[in-house]
Amino acid sequence: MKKFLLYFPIAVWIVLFFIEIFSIFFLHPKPMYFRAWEYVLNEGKDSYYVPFKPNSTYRGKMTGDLLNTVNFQPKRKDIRYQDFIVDEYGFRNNPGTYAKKPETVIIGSSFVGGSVLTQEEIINEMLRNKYKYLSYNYATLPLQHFWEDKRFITHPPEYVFIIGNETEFLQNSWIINLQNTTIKHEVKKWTSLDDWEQHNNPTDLSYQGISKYVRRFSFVKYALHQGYLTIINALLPRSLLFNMSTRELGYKSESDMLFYDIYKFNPIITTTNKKSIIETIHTLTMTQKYLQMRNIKLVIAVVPSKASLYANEYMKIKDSKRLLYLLENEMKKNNIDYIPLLEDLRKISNDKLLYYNDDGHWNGEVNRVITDKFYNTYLKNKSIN
Amino acid sequence: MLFTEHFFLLYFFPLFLLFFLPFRNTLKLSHIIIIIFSLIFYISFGISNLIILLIPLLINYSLGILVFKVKKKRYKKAILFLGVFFDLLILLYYKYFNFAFDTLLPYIPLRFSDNIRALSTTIFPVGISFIVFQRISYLVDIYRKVTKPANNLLHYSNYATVFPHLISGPIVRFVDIKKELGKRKYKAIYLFDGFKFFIVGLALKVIIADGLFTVEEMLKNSIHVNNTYESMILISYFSLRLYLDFTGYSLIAMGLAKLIGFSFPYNFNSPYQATSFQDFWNRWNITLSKWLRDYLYIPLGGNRKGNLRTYMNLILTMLLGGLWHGASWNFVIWGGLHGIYLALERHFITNRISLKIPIFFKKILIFIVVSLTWLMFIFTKPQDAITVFMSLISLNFSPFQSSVSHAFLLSLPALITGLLWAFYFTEKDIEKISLNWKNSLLLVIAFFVLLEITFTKQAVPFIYFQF
Repeated sequence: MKKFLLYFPIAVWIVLFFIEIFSIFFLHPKPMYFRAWEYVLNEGKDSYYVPFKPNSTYRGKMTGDLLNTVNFQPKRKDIRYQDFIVDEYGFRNNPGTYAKKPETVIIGSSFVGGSVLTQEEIINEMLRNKYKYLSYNYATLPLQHFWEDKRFITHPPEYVFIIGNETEFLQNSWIINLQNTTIKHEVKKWTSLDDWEQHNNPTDLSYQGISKYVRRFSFVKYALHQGYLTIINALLPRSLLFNMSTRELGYKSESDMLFYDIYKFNPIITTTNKKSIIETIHTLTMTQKYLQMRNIKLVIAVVPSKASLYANEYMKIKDSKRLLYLLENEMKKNNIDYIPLLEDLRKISNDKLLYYNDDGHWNGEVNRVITDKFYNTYLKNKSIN
Repeated sequence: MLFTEHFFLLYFFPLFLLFFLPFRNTLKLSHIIIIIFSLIFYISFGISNLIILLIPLLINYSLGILVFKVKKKRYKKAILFLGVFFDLLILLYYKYFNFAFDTLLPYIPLRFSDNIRALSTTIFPVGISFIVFQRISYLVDIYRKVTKPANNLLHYSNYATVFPHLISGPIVRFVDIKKELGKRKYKAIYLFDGFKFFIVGLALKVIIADGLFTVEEMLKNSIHVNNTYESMILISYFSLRLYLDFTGYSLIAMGLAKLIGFSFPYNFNSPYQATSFQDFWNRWNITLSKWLRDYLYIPLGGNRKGNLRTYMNLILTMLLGGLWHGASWNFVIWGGLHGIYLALERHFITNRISLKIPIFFKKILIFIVVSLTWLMFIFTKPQDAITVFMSLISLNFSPFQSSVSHAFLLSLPALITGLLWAFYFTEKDIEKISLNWKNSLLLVIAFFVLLEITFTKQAVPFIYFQF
């Protein structure tokens, strides 16, 4: 017995080693992420400035981006299924979309990229499936990239459709003032994911490369974490688990909703917010002017943030006191084409969930409203391509 | 490759054990396995490090034999001098060249400065400070006839490269593990003993020390707006974290060494339970303190040449001890301050001036002074240390910053456990964990918990890793 006790801890350690070896060499595990977003991202690079890995497809389960940051174990309703398809240039379209010369390019951040949505819930797919209209999803690159993209200089689209939530528009950081330049960038078209991997992600045989790889695919790491989540979620309520996190998020236990923007952003009209609106309107006016020089029409859609729709602090505030109300009015005054969303979304937000509980991004319901309004306002009377 | 990294924990070390354990009592083969794995471990920090490790290793081994074999004392001394000079030259070049160059730049004629600058290096071999001090101790001990040289190159290479102490000590002397190098009789109890030291060390590091890190980091980034409470928390958190981080590392190293069959010396013995500065240095980074005493303070004359000279020796030893930590003035000031404390204390003892303070308050006093002196360790710029000190004495008791108070509450379990460890337990208490069912099971459960924390949390590097 004593001999067994002496060897027991080390034996456990060695068994863990064999489990690691077995899982990495024999199970060929996929990344333990539950978001296709990370799966197809160019690792180590800022997702704002690079497209996804081209020609990649992910089909599997996923949960929201805020869930894991606060150690909540997903409930059954939190687990969704996602199809995530990327074209030959690294954008979230079906391969071959650009070759058909789409007339609208949709620009935005992860909201437009659809980090939380399956392929059929993103706007370009909705336009194609419902209205047989071809558009091009350009998320997540800023507008300047579109401006310098040789593809759209040679064949400019008719519309540039910028969609974002009010936080993004007001912070004015992601839109970036469009610089008038003649620079042209050739965006490479990849024949396959392997082709791209060989050029961009060669096998790294250094210690850093190997250790990073085995850590990423570690089954022991995954199993231990799942065990930990199961135990703490069984023992503690979510409100307590949330308070144990150091992340600056918001959580409302009554609705079981996590918020990314609840304390970082105030969706009510304030002096500071008014100043931000002036800057945003200036940016949009300049953008519109430059795009017109290439005969491209600019259309904007600003979506209310999750906090402004679902956080108690802001839910009952009159629309006229909302920042988005002022922003939409200012766009109207300055002749910037926009799709008004505030009223429509506020109306349906009680009946339909517009943001998933565990994610900071809006869901397919919002995209459905945007798609319909965009089509009915700008495309309905045009010929269908 | 750090001891807390996934690769080390789930690949490198278990694989090493799989190779090593079957041959643990086969002297030659076990040496070869240890050396090969140690070199792989060192290469993980960059292959260029390997040359800096291996060439001086061969030179030191040869010089050790020469020091031992040469009969005439004059020649013996000359060879020793050559060896120590060579080792120090490596340390000076890789660690202090840029610092010396920047300090002396205003006095260097312009026509020479570019040529001198060209000699500077961007390589900083990992663990160089510990490695060099270890090599020097080997040569000096042979010269002083404390030990004979290693039986063969395999023994010496094993001593000089064995991975548990390669990066951040403890500074193991050849005499400490000579027996185990020459005659190995691996006992099965080493497996349990090594594991328990490893687990306790890992727990001190990843649960307690790292648990204090977030608050400390927040307060470190807001020194200009911190109130008195926040500055007090910053200093005491750093003080506690530095100790727990380093003792955690040392216990991990001891545990791993035990699993390989080596008994490394304790590097800490509850330093914050010290009742004097001398006592503190007998308990803090013990292997370095002993090194400084035996190879610097005593050769300088120690306390044998009168009071004034003793005080000077103490200050000089501590100044150099401070400089050993890094090429920066804040470390020199830190060392100098400790030298002054030790000299003053000795002056009081010599003149039989004693303050009748209860032991408990003595411990608190030493903790406060030592913690305030760590300010020089926290910041690279002395003016930042002064800013914190000023906010401490400003007696500004305004409310906490909200983000800090939340993080502070979350860190309370780590703080309470850390305080208990620092002021109640000692490192030697680990020996009391006896072999039985309950303890074995608890250690294995702790292992799983620690792995989960290590893999999930963002890694906080060991503080002493930079030295």
